[in-house]
Amino acid sequence: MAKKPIAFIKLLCPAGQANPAPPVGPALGQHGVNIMEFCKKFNAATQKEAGMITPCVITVYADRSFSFVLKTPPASVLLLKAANVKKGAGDTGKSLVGKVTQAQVEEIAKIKMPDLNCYSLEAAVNTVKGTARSMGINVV
Amino acid sequence: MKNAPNPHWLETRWNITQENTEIFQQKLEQFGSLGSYQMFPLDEDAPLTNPEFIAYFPDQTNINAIAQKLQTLENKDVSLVTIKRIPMESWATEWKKHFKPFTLAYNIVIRPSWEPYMHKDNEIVLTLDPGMAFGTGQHDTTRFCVEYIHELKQQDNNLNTLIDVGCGSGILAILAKLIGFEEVVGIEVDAEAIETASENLQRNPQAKDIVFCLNNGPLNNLNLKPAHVVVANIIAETLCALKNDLLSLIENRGYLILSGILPERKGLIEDAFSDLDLVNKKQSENWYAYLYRKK
Repeated sequence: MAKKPIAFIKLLCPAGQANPAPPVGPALGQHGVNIMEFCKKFNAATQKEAGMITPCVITVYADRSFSFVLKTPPASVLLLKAANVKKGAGDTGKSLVGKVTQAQVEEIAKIKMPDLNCYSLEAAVNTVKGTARSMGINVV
Repeated sequence: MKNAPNPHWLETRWNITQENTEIFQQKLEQFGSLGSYQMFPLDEDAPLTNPEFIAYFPDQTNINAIAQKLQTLENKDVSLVTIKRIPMESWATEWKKHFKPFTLAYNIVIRPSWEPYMHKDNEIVLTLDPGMAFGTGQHDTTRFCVEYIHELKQQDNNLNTLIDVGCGSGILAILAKLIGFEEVVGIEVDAEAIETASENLQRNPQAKDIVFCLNNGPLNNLNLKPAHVVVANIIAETLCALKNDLLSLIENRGYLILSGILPERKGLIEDAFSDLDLVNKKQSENWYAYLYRKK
């Protein structure tokens, strides 16, 4: 018989560096999940990309066991990396913090395709451009 | 992801539409969020939409001011639902409620230090509080190691010395002592784990005289006498990187237990340690462990 899920949780953790501090501890601890076990599994699965912010969707079951699926890094994180800046703009639409090329946006869109609700690369590119705009990153 | 210096956090809950969560998360980090997660409605067949968004901030942060700024910046349906001040480790206590005494392997029982337990005559009972360290015994990787340690001692009672590399909560080192190894050393890179391991040793007075060493450098810096058995429950990449150090800790014809290996990484271990005799391999759905013997 399939195990009964009691929660679906999406976390962002640096690859290879999950630890029991927020958000991992509170998100999983309240459901009785063995936090260190999650950290160990997550860190082992993401060791290769160490440091890259990696989304992770966790299913917690009634017996306190869990499974998780790793997703592609957020477009915002990939954009910051591509633009070589640390932070996006605090005042959306007013200031620019950096720029990326159309080719870089397309590359990010390709990486993000599996996790976006887009049926074409063009739609994915537009989504990534929207994120870039709200972060103050110009596409040139 | 860093531990906040404050003894409390502010837990904030927000309503936001799914398509805006990524940029919202990024903005919250700019405003000082320590981390966040999304909790989805419990419908296994439905797509993950309309999550509840929970973010943590240092104590004393002006959350209402942040909420106001977000409204101005985004003009997207962002609303702050609740702000709650929570003690730094309240979640850890929640988790402990579900950690009960259990049989780890053979006659070996793990008893959380806060749980009562009636000790039966033929049992080896380890009293444990894992604190923030790895090693509760609930994990397959730990169970594999305990099984190997127990089986080796059963097969050859002359195996008397053991070194645990990456000892975490001290669970393997202390159990090795309880199983009958006379000289046991635990090595760890995390100072907090060494403290936890030492506290666990005190909780198990019958397993006295274990040495726990904090070491961040090459293992041979410690000048340890090679042991009959070396156990390392870490992860595949680290085990491979430590190979020469691990071998230097094992007596000739001694045993090496390697655990913490994901199925997709087992090739790394099998290649790196191919010059040793492979004695046995254990596996579960997600993990592999290997028992090697030094030539």
